[in-house]
Amino acid sequence: MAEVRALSLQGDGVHRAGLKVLGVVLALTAWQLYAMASGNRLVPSLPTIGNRLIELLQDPEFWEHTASTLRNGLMGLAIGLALAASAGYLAARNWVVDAAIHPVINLLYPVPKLALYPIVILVLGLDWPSRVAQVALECFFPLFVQCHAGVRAVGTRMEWLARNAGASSWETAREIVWHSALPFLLTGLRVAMPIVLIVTTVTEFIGDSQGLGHLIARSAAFFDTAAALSVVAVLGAIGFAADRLVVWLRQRLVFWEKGVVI
Amino acid sequence: MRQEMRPGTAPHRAVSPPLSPPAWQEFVRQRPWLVTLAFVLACLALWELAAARPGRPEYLLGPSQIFTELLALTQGGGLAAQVLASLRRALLGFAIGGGLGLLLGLLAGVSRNFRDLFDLTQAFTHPVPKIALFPVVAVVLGFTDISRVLIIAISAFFPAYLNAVNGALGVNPRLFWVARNVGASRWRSFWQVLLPASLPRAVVGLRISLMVSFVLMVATEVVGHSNGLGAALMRAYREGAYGPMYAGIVCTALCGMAANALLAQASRRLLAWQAHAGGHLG
Repeated sequence: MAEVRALSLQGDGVHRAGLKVLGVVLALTAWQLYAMASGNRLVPSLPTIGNRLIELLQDPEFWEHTASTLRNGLMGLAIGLALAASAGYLAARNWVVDAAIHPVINLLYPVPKLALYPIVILVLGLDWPSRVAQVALECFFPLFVQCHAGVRAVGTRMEWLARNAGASSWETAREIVWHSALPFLLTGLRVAMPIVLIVTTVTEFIGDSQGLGHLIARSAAFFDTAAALSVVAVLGAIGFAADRLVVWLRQRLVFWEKGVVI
Repeated sequence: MRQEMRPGTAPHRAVSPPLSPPAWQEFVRQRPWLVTLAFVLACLALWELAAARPGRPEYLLGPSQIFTELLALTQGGGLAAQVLASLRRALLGFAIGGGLGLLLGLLAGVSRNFRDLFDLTQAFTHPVPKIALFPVVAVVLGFTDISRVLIIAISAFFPAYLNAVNGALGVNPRLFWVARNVGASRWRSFWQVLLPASLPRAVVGLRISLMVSFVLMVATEVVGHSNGLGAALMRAYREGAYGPMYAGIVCTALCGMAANALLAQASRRLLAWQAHAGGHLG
């Protein structure tokens, strides 16, 4: 195993890129073979999915669904982030708040919050507010953990320095805490992004709704698996783009930590 | 521990003359769980009061009502069957997906070729919300346990895989040299050197996988006709049977907490020989 490691250091870029592409080609070929072998209309071949995807992209209704999904997801994320950031900040700075809420949040972290969806629907109705609330609820927890850790990561000396220089608590928060918490915040966002997509999709499955999740469920109900898989691919592309966006933001905003890759 | 968790107290004391806090305050500071308890009890009391209010919405049940409801349902045995059906799915999916993710991740960690082969495919498939595949899988395989476990396993795979890769990449190569020097076979190096050495990181991935499995357990049961906790609480919601609905929610929450606590305990055991045991979620 050691020689594998040593060899890998000499591996040339072309060889590496070739292997990576080969992996994708193998995966796609496997699917294509499976689709052809099953001979089942329900297992669409790659060209079928591709054609269906192109059709979908030209359909204005598809774009309405996409906009709805993005709107709900981003609104939920924003609300969850605002709550998590304020709760995380308070808990990290005040031991009474920390003692009160931190153990409770740790206990509730592994609970599948989706189980609370019926209550959320009962309170907010079946329309978009319940979906937004569910997304916010679900991404609150990882964001809280990161915000809390970020505010805690403030160097004690930095804080003393700020206090000696006569900085108010607002100035300390803006000039010191913000900079130490930012990398953590972005890590939290990176964890929360896939959660946002999952929850938005599931909530769109339920009830008569709109959004990409609804589009998948409807296509599948009409046995149009090619369309459903196209929408899945679009969701994957959105997730990929969101992840790249967070990484890019990190490089721009946390420029002093260039070497570290999350 | 407590001391670390109160940054900013030291300069306060240095600047202002020692205003010794009242004895009770110091007493509580030494026992922060008292605050937790008080907070939880206050929340429960407020909830109970809100549920006892005359103009309350029909769906608002107090904690005491939920508790009696839960007791009544556990005696019937129906709830136990739902819990078992759900747990079987979640744990089976976790075992398959998490186990495969761990093994392939370790392999990818030591073999650059293997890692490269998976790299792009993984980068494209990882961001797809796997639950979105469920309706498609259900069309082909039906709304059966097979499709549910499959979706849970695919979802549980990725966190386990990614963390195992990172864990294996972080293993000190000297450990392998030592293993080679004493003539250990590749097979033995894998099981006796690589696996234990990358376990701390890998276990963090497994814990995330377990949480994901429970989320997907509920998600796959909510959609389509099924048995299990998710289906039971959705049905109860549709029928307006709010007691059973809350009972289902409480059971789901307890299952998630129990599974997480068990895995945390197991990882503490497994990693007892390592200083930085445990690791945090996130």
